[in-house]
Amino acid sequence: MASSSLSKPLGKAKLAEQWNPTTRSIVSLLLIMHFTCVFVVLSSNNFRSPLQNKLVRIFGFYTQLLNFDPNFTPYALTFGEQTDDVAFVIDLYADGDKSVAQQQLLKTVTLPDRGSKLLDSQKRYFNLGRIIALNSDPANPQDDITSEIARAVGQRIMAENDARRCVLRCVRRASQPMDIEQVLPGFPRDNPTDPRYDLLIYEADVWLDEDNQVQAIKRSAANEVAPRQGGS
Amino acid sequence: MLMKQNAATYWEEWATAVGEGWNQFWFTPASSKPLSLLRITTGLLLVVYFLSYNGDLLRWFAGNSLMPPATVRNLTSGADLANYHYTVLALVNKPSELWIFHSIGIAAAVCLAIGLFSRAAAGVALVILLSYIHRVPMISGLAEPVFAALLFYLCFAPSGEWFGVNAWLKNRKGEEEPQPSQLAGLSLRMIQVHLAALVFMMGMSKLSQENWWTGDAVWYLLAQTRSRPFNLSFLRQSPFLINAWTHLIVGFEIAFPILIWNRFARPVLLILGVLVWLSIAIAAGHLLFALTMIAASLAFWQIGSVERTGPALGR
Repeated sequence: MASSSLSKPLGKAKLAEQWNPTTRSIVSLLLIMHFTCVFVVLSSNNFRSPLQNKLVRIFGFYTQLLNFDPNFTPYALTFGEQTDDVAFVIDLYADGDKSVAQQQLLKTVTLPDRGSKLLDSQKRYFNLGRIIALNSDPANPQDDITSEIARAVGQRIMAENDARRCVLRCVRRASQPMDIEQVLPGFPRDNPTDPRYDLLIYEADVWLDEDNQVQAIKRSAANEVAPRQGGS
Repeated sequence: MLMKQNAATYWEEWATAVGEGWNQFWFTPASSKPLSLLRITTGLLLVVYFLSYNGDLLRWFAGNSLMPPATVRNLTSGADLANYHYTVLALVNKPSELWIFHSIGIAAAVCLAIGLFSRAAAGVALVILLSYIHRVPMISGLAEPVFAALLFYLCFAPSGEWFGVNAWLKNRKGEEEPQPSQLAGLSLRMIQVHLAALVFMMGMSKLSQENWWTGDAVWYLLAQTRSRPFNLSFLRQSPFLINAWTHLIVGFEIAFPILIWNRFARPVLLILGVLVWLSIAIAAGHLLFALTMIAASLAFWQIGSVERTGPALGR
């Protein structure tokens, strides 16, 4: 079925000129080199041995440059965590010199704030949120990575809204289990988007100083803060 | 002595058989029609991909974006990391320049879809796609590695020979119809092998996660209120259906790279593939990825006729 509609049987068709053995040998060599690189990087998607790690780095000039290497792109789709994607909730304030307690909230921006769920527009924000989540693990927090992202995201959103200070929060929502009877007491069964399902995983103050340089200070680790109150 | 002779004969026969098999697999001439269909679908999907950046173009790629170049450099550099994230966007500074760059990408994708200077269009589209990917690699999704591979192969594949502007112009001039060629066969084989390896990798990644074995992985996708495109949580009433859906995805991804080479199993797998990829889009919202996988599967459409009637080589 799939094969019949596309071409005439090739036995009856006139063929284009064929390659000589030397050309075929060169092409074969290139094929072996190309697919060795491709197979190595594809087999290193999820976990890597030290050998694979070394080979991925060696082949990187070819496989990373041409994006054949999916790196750690989560093709597993889910890791079996009962959690939703991570959203950024950013409270914006006008004055960079005053603390948030001393001034009025200008606006709260939640990222993603636009784009399609079916195309990848919103997922790009979730990918960034996932990096914060991975590096906010209380057992092994990577503050240099999270603060780098917090500074960049905070600066952009402040610039978009004429603000000079913000509180950037990364909020992960717990997912409901398949068996509704297993929903823990205190969590509403009929509303999986209720704020009680939200878990604060990262929180930082970001502001522009007098030299217009962006500064960020992490507020606390996930195991030290209470869940955020109120809607997102 | 006899054993030595037997061993020599064995290796000689082995080398001949492998050589003939290799030549037949990679260098059998094929029609370029499936490549032309692949070119059209890839071009159209790439237009959608580029357009999906329209709302956020400056937010992601401007100098003061959510991920400025310096931040990306800091996050991607390290002693243990390969860092070949070269991007043409490093030369683009102003928002107007960024929009021009973006428009060139869309134009290249349109040219690819309509078959106007197909190879050049694929090359330009690939450079622009890679520029976006390498400018902010952390936001790259599931579809990008598939797009990059398809565009790479379309850079040298004779995909413009059918169903396009250049093909129509040649036809008007009364030029001869394109003939099956080794380059078309080789290009198709490369896409097929790459696709089979990708799907196998996807299946293996899933097998490394417990929830794909226990049958509730699809539920974890359906329960994600932020990213799911549709609310299918009523399916919690049918846990066996969730289990079956989960097992179907893994089973398909493991079976595909093995059985797709069998001409009897191939049509079944291609039809099943459409259902499986779309089901992932429905559960998790990866529509662009699902459609790209379906488009890439077009590379398998012609193999039957090549295997049955293609002339053998290297004899």
